[in-house]
Amino acid sequence: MTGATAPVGGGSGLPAGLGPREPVPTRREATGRPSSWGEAQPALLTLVTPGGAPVCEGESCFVPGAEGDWSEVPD
Amino acid sequence: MNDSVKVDVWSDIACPWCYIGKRKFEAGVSAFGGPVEVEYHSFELSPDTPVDFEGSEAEFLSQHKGLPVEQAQQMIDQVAGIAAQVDLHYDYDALRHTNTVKAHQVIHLAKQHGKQLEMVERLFAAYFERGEHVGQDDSLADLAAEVGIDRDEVRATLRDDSQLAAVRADQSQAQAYGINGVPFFVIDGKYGVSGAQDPAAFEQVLRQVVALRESTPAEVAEAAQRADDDAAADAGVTR
Repeated sequence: MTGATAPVGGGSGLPAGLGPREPVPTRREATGRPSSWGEAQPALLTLVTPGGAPVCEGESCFVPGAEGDWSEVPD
Repeated sequence: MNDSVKVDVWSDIACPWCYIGKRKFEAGVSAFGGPVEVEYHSFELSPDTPVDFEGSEAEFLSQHKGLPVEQAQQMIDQVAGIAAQVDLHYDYDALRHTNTVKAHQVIHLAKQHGKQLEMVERLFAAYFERGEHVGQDDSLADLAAEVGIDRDEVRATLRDDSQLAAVRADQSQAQAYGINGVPFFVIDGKYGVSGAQDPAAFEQVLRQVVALRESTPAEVAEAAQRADDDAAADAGVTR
């Protein structure tokens, strides 16, 4: 994943209404939508939540372990 | 502005976190309470997977990752246990490991019939819970028929690869967004959420996106820049 990861409640700079435990928008690398989605769009912002969440990437699936280690689980 | 929140979901049928994430997302939407429009998009985690693999999932994993079968089985049991926490009953003994590109084509066909969500759910259940094949034409035609799509239309679609361009367009869009892991949720076409988050996180994000609609694009961009700066500063502190 190319998006930066920001800590939750990362101090100042949150849009109005965002509290310290709420997801934080971070800039994400993206080149915009292809023509089938209409005109080019601004970069996607990733809303980051605490602790990350399990995803599958390529042929591997990962889940964060209790001690912050990453364990592989089956596709 | 449309009151409903649009959520575009990139996922693969053969992705255990995508089905778990689907359940968690649905619970988050329910807690959010507002109108949400969901559309699924194609993502192939392992496009080189053969349509048929003879053997158990533990054997596949063992061969593919070079692990002892016992360790592969342990990993399988772990994810099945997590699935059970959201009332999904993964049956890895029965699971038919396969290529999912045809299933993605069926999902696109189902969208044209207004039955995409039912089709996605049926395919996930077929793959993870019921040991049904989601890579063969006849099996996919049967599954699609269960949600009201004509078998012959499914067979013709798969024979002609007539939805393959739609699958590839989804994959191109994922690449443009920088998505390389699933599930991935794009909300209102502007905000991304990665992974099988907890329902409360999805609920919070949906509320946040609605709140951000009151902000101008410049304000949102400025807030994002400040968040980036904060992250960089925090990274500097912990380095």
